[in-house]
Amino acid sequence: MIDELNRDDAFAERVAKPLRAPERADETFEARVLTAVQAAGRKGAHQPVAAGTWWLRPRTVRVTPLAALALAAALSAVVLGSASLVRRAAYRELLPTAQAASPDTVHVVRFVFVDSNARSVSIVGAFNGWEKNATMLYPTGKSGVWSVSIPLDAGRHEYAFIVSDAKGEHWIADPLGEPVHDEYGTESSAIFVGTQT
Amino acid sequence: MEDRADAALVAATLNGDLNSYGVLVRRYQDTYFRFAVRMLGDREDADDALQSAFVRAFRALRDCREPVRFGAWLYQIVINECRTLGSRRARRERRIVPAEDELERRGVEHPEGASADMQEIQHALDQLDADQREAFVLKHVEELSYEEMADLTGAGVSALKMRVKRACDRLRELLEESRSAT
Repeated sequence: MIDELNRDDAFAERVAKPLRAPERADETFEARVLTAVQAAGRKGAHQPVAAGTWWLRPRTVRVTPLAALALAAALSAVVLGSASLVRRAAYRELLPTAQAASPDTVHVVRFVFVDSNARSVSIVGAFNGWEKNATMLYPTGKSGVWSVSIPLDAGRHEYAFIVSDAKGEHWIADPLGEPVHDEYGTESSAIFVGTQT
Repeated sequence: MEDRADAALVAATLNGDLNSYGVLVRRYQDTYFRFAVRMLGDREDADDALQSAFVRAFRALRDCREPVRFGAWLYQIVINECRTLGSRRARRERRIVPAEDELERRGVEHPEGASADMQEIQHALDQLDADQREAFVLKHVEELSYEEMADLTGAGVSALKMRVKRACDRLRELLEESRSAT
């Protein structure tokens, strides 16, 4: 029995040793977290959420895992192939929520935008008062890929990206999003967060 | 600023000082990022889980009853985020990760020569049941005591010992299979 335990410990040590190598969150991590919590702050994030182990039942809607970029890039080429601005695309993957959302549920939605010529990218929507510099996307470390995660309430949200490049500043709707138009014809996009009834 | 204790930073954050929360983020991000990477086997999923955990922690900061133990409280949230993301991911199709990106990432992150071992071990780890993987990582990678693990996970010490034992047995099988196949 003791021999077996010693054998297990030796094996576990051998396996675990390389797994203890340090891992570092990327250099934009802190800034992205603070952007997300600032957005939460504007929505009254300092209010306590429901008491109890609320985090045991989180529902997250996530947009566009970066690892799907190869697939998404191919898709964007199809979507934008007839346009001259093939270089620019935003991607989205909506994961189904397991249960109906409660008002206290935090939905962290990740937005990813790809533009190899962009100097800065921000996202605007009712969630940040349509302020163009309120919610910046951060370079992910992959060429031309920008992202930000934003806590959103359940429901429908309209949004657009503001992209700055050498030619100026551009309002860009998500090419893969549900298009919506205001009274002046400006196109934005819509996303539904949470369980749609 | 960086020397302030967790409790002081929590109090300052609750008084509206977001920079103090930034200090807490910097203090814990790398430690918990490693845990999330080992649990999820994917740096981008780990980034999502960890970011979500920090946002949830911020929103619930008033519920942190022992700010001196902010790190342990946050750890519980990180563990739960990894469980949630892992179980959701298991329900959907495995995503396509460009192999060269993955290799490049592993190659950059780990010392020369360790990369192949790391990939093989992480691949075996990914195949464990989630509760066994969690127990193994907490015990042997994060090097926590069983009492600390019980405090964080809510599971009993006996159950955790059994999970670690089964994780070791299964890892041994998987690695032997892998090595005999090459």
